[in-house]
Amino acid sequence: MATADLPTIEVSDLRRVYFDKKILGRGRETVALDGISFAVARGSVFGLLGPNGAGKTTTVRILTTLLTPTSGQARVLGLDVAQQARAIRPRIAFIFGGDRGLYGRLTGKENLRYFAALHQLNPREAKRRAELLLEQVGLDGRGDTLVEQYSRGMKQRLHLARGLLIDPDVLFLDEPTIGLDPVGARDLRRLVPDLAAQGKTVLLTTHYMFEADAICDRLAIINKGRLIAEGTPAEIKGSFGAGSVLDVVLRQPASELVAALEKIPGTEYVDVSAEGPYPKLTILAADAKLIQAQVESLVGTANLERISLREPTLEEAYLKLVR
Amino acid sequence: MANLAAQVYLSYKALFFWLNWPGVLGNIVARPMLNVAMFSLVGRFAGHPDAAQRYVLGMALYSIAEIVTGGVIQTFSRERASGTLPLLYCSPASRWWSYAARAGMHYPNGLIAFTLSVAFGAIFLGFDYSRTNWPLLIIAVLAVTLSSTGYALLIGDIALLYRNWTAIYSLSGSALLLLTGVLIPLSALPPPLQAVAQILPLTHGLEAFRAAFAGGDLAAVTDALAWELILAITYGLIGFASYRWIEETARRTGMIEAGI
Amino acid sequence: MATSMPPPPRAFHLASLAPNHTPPLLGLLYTIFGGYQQSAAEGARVRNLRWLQRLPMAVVWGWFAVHADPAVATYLTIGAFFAVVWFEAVFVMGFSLTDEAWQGMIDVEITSPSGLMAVLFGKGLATAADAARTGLMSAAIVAVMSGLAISIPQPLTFVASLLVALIALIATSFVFAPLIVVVGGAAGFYNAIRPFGIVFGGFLFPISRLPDALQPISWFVPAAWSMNAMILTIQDGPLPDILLRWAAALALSVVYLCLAWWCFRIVERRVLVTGSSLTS
Repeated sequence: MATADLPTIEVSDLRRVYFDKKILGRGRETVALDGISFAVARGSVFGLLGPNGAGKTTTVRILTTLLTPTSGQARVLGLDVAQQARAIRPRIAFIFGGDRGLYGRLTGKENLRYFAALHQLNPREAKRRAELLLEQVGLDGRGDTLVEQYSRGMKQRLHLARGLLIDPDVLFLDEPTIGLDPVGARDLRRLVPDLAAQGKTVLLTTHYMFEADAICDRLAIINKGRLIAEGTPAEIKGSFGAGSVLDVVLRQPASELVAALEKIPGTEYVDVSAEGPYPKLTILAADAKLIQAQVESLVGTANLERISLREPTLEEAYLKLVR
Repeated sequence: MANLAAQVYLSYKALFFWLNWPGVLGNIVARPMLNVAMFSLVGRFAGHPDAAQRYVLGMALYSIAEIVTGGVIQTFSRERASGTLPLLYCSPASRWWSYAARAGMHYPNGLIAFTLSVAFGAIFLGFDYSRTNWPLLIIAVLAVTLSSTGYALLIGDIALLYRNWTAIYSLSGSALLLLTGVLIPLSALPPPLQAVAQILPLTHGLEAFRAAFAGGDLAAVTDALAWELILAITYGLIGFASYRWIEETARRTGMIEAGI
Repeated sequence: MATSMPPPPRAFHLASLAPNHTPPLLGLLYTIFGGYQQSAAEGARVRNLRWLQRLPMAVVWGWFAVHADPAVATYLTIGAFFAVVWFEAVFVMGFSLTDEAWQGMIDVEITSPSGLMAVLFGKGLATAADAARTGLMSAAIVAVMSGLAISIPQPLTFVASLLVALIALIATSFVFAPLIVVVGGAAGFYNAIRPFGIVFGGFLFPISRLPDALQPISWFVPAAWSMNAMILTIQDGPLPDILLRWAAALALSVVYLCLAWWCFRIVERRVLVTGSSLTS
């Protein structure tokens, strides 16, 4: 049993290798996790970030007892995920989200009652909880509608209600806002800190840096199966020293500029995007203020719409770390 | 010709992908033989004196129609389900070949199923082929293969319109099983159904097939074989006209993904 | 068509969710019942006309029964029911696990304290109940075509034989839910399994009618023993002989359920250890 001062989730040197079996010849090995370690405190929101294929979902699947680790150890609520899976399962919930994982031909209520039955709740209690949770996730009045008629956002709320049916101590959310419209995503982001405030521990994976920045107490960035940074969002942002950013908005496209700017000493990288009709360069440097004059000179006054100096965002920190 | 060969192979490979080796053994080898066994043994148990002759012959020939019809209908259904229909409609490919090529790879499967069914009857059910006119039997088999193809191509068009292909397959197959004399003699059917039987594939081919088994000669069944071939051409052409109509209607109504 | 957006969610108040203290055995029954309800509700909303697809076959069996003597007609009428239940149950149950995987349900179901097998068993019962309705329609067709020439000398023994046969049939068809995943090849062999069951399960003719070389296969099919008991019941046979066949059918059913359990263990291991999604 976890005590208040022990982490709710502890991952230690966790490794997972997938074997692609072949009938003839040697199969292929894919290292999904290569010895990661981190810990998540009770009642906190912990974010796992990383590019596609980094190992985020594998980590979540191991922690939710859906996959056994190849080596290393993972404990949830003080229990070993490989040896004590049956004891962990009634106390955790996971939401993988998306259109799958719900029966489209059943109503929202029927779906919840089915999932309650999987967790051995008696039918009367299942009905009561289904109605209560539908109301709490804002689906009251929609419980008798077939799920195939739900929008993506409504399905995601139903996933959340499903996860909360057993009042879990730990909640795992795998990319919970992916594919949601901005309103649905914002609503869901509001709910996560609310759950943590009630003592739930939340581990979520996401691709959205602003989301992680806004709702996570701590973050870990995984790349190619390895943990490359861990800390609070502020610590991660500060993890690449006294870096700063120049945003340069141009009047004319100038693709040849990128190579020249990258050669300026102290420049980390140059990213090209757009701001309205204008091309925009984002230049990350150890100290962007020092190179501002050189940048203005290379761009030329005639081509310069606007230039501004600012602190890096979490996304820029992330991009630097995973590149 | 190379284009046709490619379409025959690719339509089979792409749209009939589930038929792996367990599938071949189950569907092409075991199922036809088990069907022959099932109906022959039930017939004998029920006291039908001609059970072996009627049901072994009927089910052996029916196995060709069953495999060709099932295979072709699935190529249409999966074309729709896999979302490749708009690509076909946008391509300059010959519509006739894209339509007709769907049946190509199912002929060998049908013929293997037929051969095994016939062999099973001889080995396990004591069926005697000593009087059989083999050249005539082969002509009857080929005629039924062609008429089944025409029928399958026409029914396959329906699978472009209606999502549940198993119901289409099952009901179109049941019509052949019940109404063409495979199991129930035509004389036992009510007169309106006897009339329907005349325009279904298999009915006339089966007549020629049974005659070949009894040692009859070609002259006695020329009309039956001619009818079977006329039906093959008629079904094929009506099916092709429907195929084009579906394409045109899909363009007009903007429902390309769903057929019409 | 998606409905309009609902109002934003409220702040959570989960305190009213009391801890769940259901005893394990009762919890297992809740899970089985939940699986049954889910499958029955979903099945009722699918309009795939499956019942209509089975009726032409019943007409064929009815044709066989037209001139048969009463004992044979009775056997064919009962056999039509079981043959249809088998046709439906083995097909739907066979694909049930892969269907769950395609719908993304396996992850949730595998973590049920009752186990994946209990969940699928509940769904299998719903399949059997649905198939039984179509089976009754088929039996009615055969009975009417045979001129209702049905004779049942031992009604109580007959009902018990029916139950044993139904248990045998469900146990056998249930094995195919995990087996299709374990052996791979998906739909491959399924179309052969259905007539195989009819031929070797003795649904429509006694297995003694099989060629000698093929008869031993049917000894391993629980339904064959239960249908054999059915023949004895119809023929007013001695009770000890009937009891012996019931015992054989039930013992084999237990073996098949153990086989199903073992296959489910393999499936669970495949998901948890290899990370398979079960969809390929």
